[in-house]
Amino acid sequence: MSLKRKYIQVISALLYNANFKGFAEGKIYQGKIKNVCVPGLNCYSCPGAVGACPLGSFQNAIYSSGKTIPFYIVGTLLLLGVIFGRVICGFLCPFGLIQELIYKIPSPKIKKNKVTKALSKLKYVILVVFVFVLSAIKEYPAFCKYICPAGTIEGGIPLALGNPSIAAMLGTLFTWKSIVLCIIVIGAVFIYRDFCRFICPLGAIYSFFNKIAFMGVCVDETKCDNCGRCIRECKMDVSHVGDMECIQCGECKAKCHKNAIMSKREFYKRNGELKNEKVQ
Amino acid sequence: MMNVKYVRSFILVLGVAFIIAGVMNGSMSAVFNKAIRICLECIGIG
Amino acid sequence: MKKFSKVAVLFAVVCLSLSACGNSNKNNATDTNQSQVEEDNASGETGTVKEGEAAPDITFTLMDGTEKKLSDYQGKPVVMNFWATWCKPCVGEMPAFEKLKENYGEDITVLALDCGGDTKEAIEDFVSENGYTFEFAEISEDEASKYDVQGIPLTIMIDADGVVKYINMGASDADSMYNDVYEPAVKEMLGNK
Repeated sequence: MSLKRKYIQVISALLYNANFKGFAEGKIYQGKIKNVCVPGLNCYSCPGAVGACPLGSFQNAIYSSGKTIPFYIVGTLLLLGVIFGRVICGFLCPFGLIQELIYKIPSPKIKKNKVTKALSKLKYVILVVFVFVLSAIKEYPAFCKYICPAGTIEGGIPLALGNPSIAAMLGTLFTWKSIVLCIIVIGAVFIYRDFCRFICPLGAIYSFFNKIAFMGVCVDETKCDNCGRCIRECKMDVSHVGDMECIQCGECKAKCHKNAIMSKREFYKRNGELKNEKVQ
Repeated sequence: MMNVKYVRSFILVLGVAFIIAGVMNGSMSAVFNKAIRICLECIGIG
Repeated sequence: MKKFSKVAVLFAVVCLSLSACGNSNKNNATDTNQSQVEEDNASGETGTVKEGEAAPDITFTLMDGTEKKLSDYQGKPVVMNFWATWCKPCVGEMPAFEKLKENYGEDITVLALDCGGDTKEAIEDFVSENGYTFEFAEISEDEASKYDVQGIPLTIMIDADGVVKYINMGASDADSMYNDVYEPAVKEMLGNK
């Protein structure tokens, strides 16, 4: 039931941002829990944020590790990736939730097509160019600085509203980031999860784990008749259920007329390990 | 086609090992130190 | 729901154990009478530290290992900067402090407190690479929290009597910071002696 998924999305968004008084005071949380990264995209400069952002932390590690090998953030991403894969995108990312809510606004919708499929590769380019190369060269978190809408909407705006000294500092960069945020937010009305599909480097990172992750959705090949309905009706740019574009939301389960789609856990329970799992 | 079961278990162990190594070598502190300061660049000021 | 609860509990346990291993920061260790103090304009406050109030005393360690307190420097105005080697704007504005030291060094103290978890070696390398001559020190998170360092760079200008005169968070380039912010503030503190 997608209501359960919404519920989990909302609960996790609230948990990641449990420092509610931060919003009132215009200040960020500085306590111990910030040793831990939350799984989804959630700016650590958000006044409510109680954990670190995995993507921001990763960029910091790229340019400022010095002689310290960034085991911690890499280990975090490996662990989260292998356990959840893009279940994080589908269930545990506040910005994913925001986009889904915006999409509910009634409007003509732009369905996925060859163009969006091609655009879905863009997030890997952004991963390489902004997260890796630019951050390393310029020695600042380049994706955070120039693109991340989560930073603008969760960090910049609440802090500027609650903290006059920060509001006084806003300049051209903030204008640029606000434009980027507007484009993404307006786009999300017409295009399902435009940020997730085309831009998010964190989703790009987790996508590499999707097929091997413990959790997720899979197809029982013995039941599947290759009608392709699941792929057609999926709003992401998938080629197969559970591939790199799949955010593991599970909405395809109800669409399958053969009941061939199930969670990996359910699959193992029924069939023993990996016997019929489609691994492309 | 790789045996998925072994790859995922290996990465799980590797991830945990790296996290433990990270706690010990200070890379977790590095994450903490940056997370508790307002990243002016992240919020569009820097 | 059962699966989610299990995962949520596991996640919470992992988080709690990790944060038990990690650093901590005491929020707002000393609370001043905020209700009585008027809200100053724009860059007036940083949590528990406000312009016009006494500067909280803090302890830090100089590069030669000596422990010092802020109060040790009372008698002359102090320009106190919270920074870290990984903070690009912090590093970018440092020459402004060197210039302050050059031009006003007899009459003021310039102090750079690394609150970003840098190792002593990293700070020493930074200082020698850039040839800075003003005072550098390491400060612990607990001590820095007395100034509620929300963001860096954070510069506190304290007059000779230990009263906070001016607070500035963030920095553009060194020249603008020197000309528009630091030098005027220092001149004012020296002029009013």
